[in-house]
Amino acid sequence: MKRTNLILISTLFASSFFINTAHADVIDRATILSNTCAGCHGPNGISHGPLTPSIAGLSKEYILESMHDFASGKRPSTVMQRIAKGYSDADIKAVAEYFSKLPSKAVVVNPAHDHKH
Amino acid sequence: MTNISRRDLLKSSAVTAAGATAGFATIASASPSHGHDHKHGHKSSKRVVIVGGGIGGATAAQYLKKMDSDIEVTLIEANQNYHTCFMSNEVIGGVRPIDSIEFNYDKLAEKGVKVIFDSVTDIDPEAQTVTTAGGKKVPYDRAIVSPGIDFKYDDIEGYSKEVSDTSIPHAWKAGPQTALLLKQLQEMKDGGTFVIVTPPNPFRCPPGPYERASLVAAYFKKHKPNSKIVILDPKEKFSKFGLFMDGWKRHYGYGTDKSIITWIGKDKGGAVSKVDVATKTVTAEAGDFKADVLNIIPPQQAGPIAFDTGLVGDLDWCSVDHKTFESTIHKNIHVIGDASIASPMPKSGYSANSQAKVCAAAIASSLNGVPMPDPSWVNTCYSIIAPQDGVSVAMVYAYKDGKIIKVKGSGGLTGAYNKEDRKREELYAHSWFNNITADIFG
Repeated sequence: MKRTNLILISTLFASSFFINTAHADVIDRATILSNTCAGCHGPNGISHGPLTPSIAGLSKEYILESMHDFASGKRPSTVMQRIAKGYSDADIKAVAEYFSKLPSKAVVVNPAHDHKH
Repeated sequence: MTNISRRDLLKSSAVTAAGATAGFATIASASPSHGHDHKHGHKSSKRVVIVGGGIGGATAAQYLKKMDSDIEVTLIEANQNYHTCFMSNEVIGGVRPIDSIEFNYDKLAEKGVKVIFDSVTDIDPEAQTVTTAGGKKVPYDRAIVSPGIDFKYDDIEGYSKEVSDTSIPHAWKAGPQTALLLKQLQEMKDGGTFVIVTPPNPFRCPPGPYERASLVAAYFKKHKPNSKIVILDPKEKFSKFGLFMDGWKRHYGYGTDKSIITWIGKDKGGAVSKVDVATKTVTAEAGDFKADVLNIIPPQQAGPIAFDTGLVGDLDWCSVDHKTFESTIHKNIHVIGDASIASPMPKSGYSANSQAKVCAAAIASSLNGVPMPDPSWVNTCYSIIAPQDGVSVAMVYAYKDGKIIKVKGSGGLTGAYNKEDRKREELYAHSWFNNITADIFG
């Protein structure tokens, strides 16, 4: 149950976080799509580097614009121009919303120190 | 421990988290991972047993727990450590330490996955139990079999598992054989010949043999400039063919009489039938080739447990439903990764990782009685042709009419040579390695 140790600081206030911890996360299309990004951009959108950027916590608008500009070629890229062309507008919107809601940094809280807060 | 820490967390955050009462109520009543379903008050029936802790199996374990922490996930794996096949060519090329491709299951265990180090001897699809060599019988509601590949040693006369472990490695499952091949190449005299025998399709990591040749060529160019590489191939073409040919010309003199690499395809008699172990001489249609260091990558099929449990049909691989990866032979047993027939997806680490997440979503949805959304997959395979010269092939996959399909217009290969882009692609390859291993084992 290490999950409980990984407290995503910025979501501490969100009741949905607690619900999801105890139950099945909602497995929606956005989750299915976004899971595929982790291979290159890191688990939960946090990259371990050296070059691929983290995408967690980016604004929805920025992700939307980036994906559309990669697909059209307006923004130069190596691999993203090939990936971005694989999705509908609705898919891109779902992914943008998903990552915009994730915290940009995960903070590992040692449960042994929780009570001191 | 878990419950206490969770309650402490609730207490500590209760002051600030006004308005989240619904969430608190749920948490307080949940007894996570102790087999009781708090919603219905009876013994939970959400037990998933995963056979094989490679890329597919370990990813599935992580994502099942992530999607529904109430699912009891048991991972059965024979070895305490896992070496990734991807990036093992950098080890063989002498530019990456072998411990950097070694991973263990500590983090999975910390996340609530029950890890059993044992070999699976049988799966009973009727009784829904997995039996191990150590005498355990583990019941499941759903099983995931991620057995990887096995080698058809007998297809090359004279070759065997014993020979591969001691003198002529395949090094196509990373680990001791990777170290053996590295040692042989390092000890080889300058002016020696390294022969790579490649397998017919389909096989694990289609561009892998050619990346291996590239990275060993880079090592020879720097340290043993009079040495040569001969690739004996039963195929007419291979993955990223144009990119490798172009790269070999630019870096290794390919096509000239000074070329480090010689590739002998099917048309030129590249198919190998026999090996003389004592002299490291292979017999191809084109004739005999004597090697100083010999690497035979044999033809492949699904891992042994897939055969032992009747998950393999007429072909050498396991037929599965493309949305859920449930076996078309045995109900409630899912097969993912290299062993599954998921064409047009290649047998790659990224494919296995992507398939595992879709399979986990299918199982978590089914166990919770909710519909599963349409799946989506990605594959990106990087290959390094030379230092600072990385290339890739990528594809987005969708589900249509009962099958995995390539999304039209997406994917494809790295474009024409551009120095800056190639440097970036090498760094993206290393980023991919760091991120996908964090996703799988972290």
